[in-house]
Amino acid sequence: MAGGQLGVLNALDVAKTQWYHFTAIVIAGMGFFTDAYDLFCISLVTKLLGRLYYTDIRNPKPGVLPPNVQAAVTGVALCGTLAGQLFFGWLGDKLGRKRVYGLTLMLMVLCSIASGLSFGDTPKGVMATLCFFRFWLGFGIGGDYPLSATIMSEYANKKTRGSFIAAVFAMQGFGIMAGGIVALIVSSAYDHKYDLPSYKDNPAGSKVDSLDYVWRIILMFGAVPAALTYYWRMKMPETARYTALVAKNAKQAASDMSKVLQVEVEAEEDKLQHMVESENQKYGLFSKEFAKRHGLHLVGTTVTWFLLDIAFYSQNLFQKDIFTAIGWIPPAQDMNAIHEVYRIARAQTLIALCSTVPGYWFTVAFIDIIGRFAIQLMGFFFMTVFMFALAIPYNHWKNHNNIGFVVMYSFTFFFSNFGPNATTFVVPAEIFPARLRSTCHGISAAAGKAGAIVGAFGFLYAAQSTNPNKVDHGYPTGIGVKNSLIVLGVINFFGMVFTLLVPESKGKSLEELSGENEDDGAEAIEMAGSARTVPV
Amino acid sequence: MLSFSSLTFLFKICRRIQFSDLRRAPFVALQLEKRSELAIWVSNFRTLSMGNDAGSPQGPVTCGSWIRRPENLNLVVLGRSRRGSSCPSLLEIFSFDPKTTSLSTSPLTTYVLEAEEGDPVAITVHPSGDDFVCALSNGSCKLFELYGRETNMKLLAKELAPLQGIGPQKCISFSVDGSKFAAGGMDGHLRIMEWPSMRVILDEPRAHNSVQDMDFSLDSEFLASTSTDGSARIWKTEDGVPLNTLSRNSDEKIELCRFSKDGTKPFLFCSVQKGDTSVTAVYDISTWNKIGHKRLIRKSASVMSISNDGKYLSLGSKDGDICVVEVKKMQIYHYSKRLHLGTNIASLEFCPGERVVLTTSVEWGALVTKLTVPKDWKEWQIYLVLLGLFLASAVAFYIFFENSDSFWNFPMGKDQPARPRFKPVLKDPQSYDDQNIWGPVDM
Repeated sequence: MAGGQLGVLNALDVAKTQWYHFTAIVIAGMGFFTDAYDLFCISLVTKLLGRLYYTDIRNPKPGVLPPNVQAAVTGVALCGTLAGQLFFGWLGDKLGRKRVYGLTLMLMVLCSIASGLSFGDTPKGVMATLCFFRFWLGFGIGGDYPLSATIMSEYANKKTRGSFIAAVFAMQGFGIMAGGIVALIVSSAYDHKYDLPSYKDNPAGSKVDSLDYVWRIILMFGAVPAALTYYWRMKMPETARYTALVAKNAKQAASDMSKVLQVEVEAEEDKLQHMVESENQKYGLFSKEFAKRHGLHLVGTTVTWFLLDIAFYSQNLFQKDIFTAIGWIPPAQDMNAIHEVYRIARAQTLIALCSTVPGYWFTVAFIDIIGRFAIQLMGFFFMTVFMFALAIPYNHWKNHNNIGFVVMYSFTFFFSNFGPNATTFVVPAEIFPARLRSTCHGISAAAGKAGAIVGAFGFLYAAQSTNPNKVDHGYPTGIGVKNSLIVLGVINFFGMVFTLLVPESKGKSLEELSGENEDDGAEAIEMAGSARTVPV
Repeated sequence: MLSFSSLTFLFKICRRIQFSDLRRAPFVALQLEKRSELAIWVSNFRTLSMGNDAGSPQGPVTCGSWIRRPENLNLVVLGRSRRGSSCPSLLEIFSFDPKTTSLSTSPLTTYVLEAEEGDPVAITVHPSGDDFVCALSNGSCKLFELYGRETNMKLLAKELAPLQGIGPQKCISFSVDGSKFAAGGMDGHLRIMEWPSMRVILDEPRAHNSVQDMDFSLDSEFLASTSTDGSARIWKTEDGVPLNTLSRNSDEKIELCRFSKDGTKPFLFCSVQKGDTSVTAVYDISTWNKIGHKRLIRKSASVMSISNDGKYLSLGSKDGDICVVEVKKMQIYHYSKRLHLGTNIASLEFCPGERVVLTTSVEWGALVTKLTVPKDWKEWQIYLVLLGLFLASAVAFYIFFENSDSFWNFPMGKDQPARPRFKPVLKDPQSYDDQNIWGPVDM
């Protein structure tokens, strides 16, 4: 067994691309697949939860989750993700990464299963239990996400590492799609078993108690990819890579080592050169030199990731509400409970299949041809255009052409994935000096998570109608779907503007970009300036 | 003065009763004060009496290595050279008990080498733990396979045709992933082969004046080798091409080399003799430039080793000292002075799973030393922390749950009995607007 395991690494490097590498892609990508499934499947079942636990049959509309509960159920996993990233980042320093990885996956398996369980059958008990275990599921995902990114780069073939990493990242799209497919299968099965009237015809008869299993099955199924990931991951050998070389942190490692050693005494001229270089490269994160060289870059990467995730997470989590608002999904009272799950799952799966997944693969194909800057700028630009195209003639789409709305909406998703969703992940790992790279990437990623939380909680309230009669029970009036989409369009526009602060990293060595080879600060500024003027 | 006299006295007594018997079995040595050293002498003196009765004395230990077996079992293989005509060359397998930090009192199995095969010179164990290669003084290398469980272990010898009659090999080594084997000869001949097919990757008769030390990198991409003339070369193991020669000053002699085993530290550690001083130099393997150096061991270093997880670097000296250094800070965490009193340490190796080192020397045999380094986090401790966090959040969540009825409830609860005052209103369809007015009030 040990010999076989050790042979895997050797084969990965020596052989040309073959079955080994596709296996490695699947194994490494399962982490992202699992993360995407678990984070986004909740949006498929929140309507059903509202119907099952909060319906008052005297009301002409079926029940929905109260705003507090809706926000908590939807967003608590994201809060857990933030906490998990911090905890497991600390833990990874204490133990090897493989142990920590096993721990996060076991946590994800257990909490996925527990998400489908509950204490008691009161709305309060069910929702509280669900929120609790969703938090810990997010905690595990927070640990899994950065480790998946690290481990996939370690097992990559040395020669085709770039496209390998992008392909693994694209597994996220498949995770989102898998959630929809599972929901379609479960809801179709129940629909065949029960022939239920719509809420309008028979409020009490539009749901049966056994529908409780539908949302539980969908959530608990998240344990399956996590368990598969765990099984395959444990069969891989211990990391045998110089990850500092893989992650291009060799200079930082050498710098850390030189602090605990006696550095060689050099000749006078070399010594002078060495002193100049040292001064050039020894600025810290909160220094004037960093602000001068990279302050705008950090603002750019942080803000673009923040703005992207506001749009990305709000749209992924609340697609169904938009589809209902424009009539692609019928009003809730015209469907029974199971029909509603089916329609939502079908709509979301269709969007993922036609837009999200192709967008990822377009990025894989073009990121080293077009370049990160152009992809991100183009992505934000088209997201802005399509958002405004949806929002401004909103009443027309709503009343006459909801299919047209869906097509335009799909393009928004396509260009978020063939666009900033991928590049905001790649660029912070490339443009900062080695010593600060992981810190800056962490800051940008944290901003992204903050944007996700804003998107998850903010859109829920903003999208409510301005007409009190049309507002869901318990919600204050909002600005309406039309104006919410306009706000998102403005957010995307600002994303495009802040992209101009981020330099193009395609075809440049990391040392060139971060100015580590420069003796003269002015040249670095000039180079950064020239990078910004890359034509669109 | 008195201590010195006592030691001399004991030394003479041991001489009289066949001093060499002391080496027949390995024994435990902890970090010792002088008084403890005296106690150990006395203890060994008592053991000697039993040793005499047990059987004939054996040859000196020339080399040793750990063998990692399944289920966290660790074994030790020792090579003994011949002594006279009655004590043949041997390979012995001992089991290691982590609780007592000691080797078994008798070997699990023994292999007797033929007279014409000569003595064991070096041993390297395949990472799988199933077999090892032994370099012999007659100029050949032999493969040994381990069979059976701990209670009925056997050694099976096999010839390696490409390694027959190649001359005495100073160093032999497997790559970290077990796919390559390298042999460095005393005549300076360097060989790299694929394992187990034995296809030749490199066959360089004049790689060095005489090979002194060598090591594979963590990713098995490079082989570093040093020469007795002080030079060091880096080879690409994929195709055997020489990649680089390490830079050094004219007064420096690079003697030993070990690659880092921590993936976040891409370094090569070298023991360098600068005049009368021995220092440890660190090279960056992405540029092969020297980063710096530090003096760690007081005498000249004779052997160097690195732990499996890459956290610790160990040096053994020609005077019998060993020191263990934490790699991150290059600080000495353990120093055993005169562990092998006055003798060159021939082998030094970290136990795969414990903070223990195996050291061998011709005079004192094999010793297993427990290191005084900070304890690592145990896996159960991590689970305990996580469980604690989980339970703490469960308690916090329950408190929130019990004290926040308004958070979870719909304005009109599912099980809430209908209020009488609403009944007449529901009969009138136009009163829906009124109901919405009531809603916010309930909130």
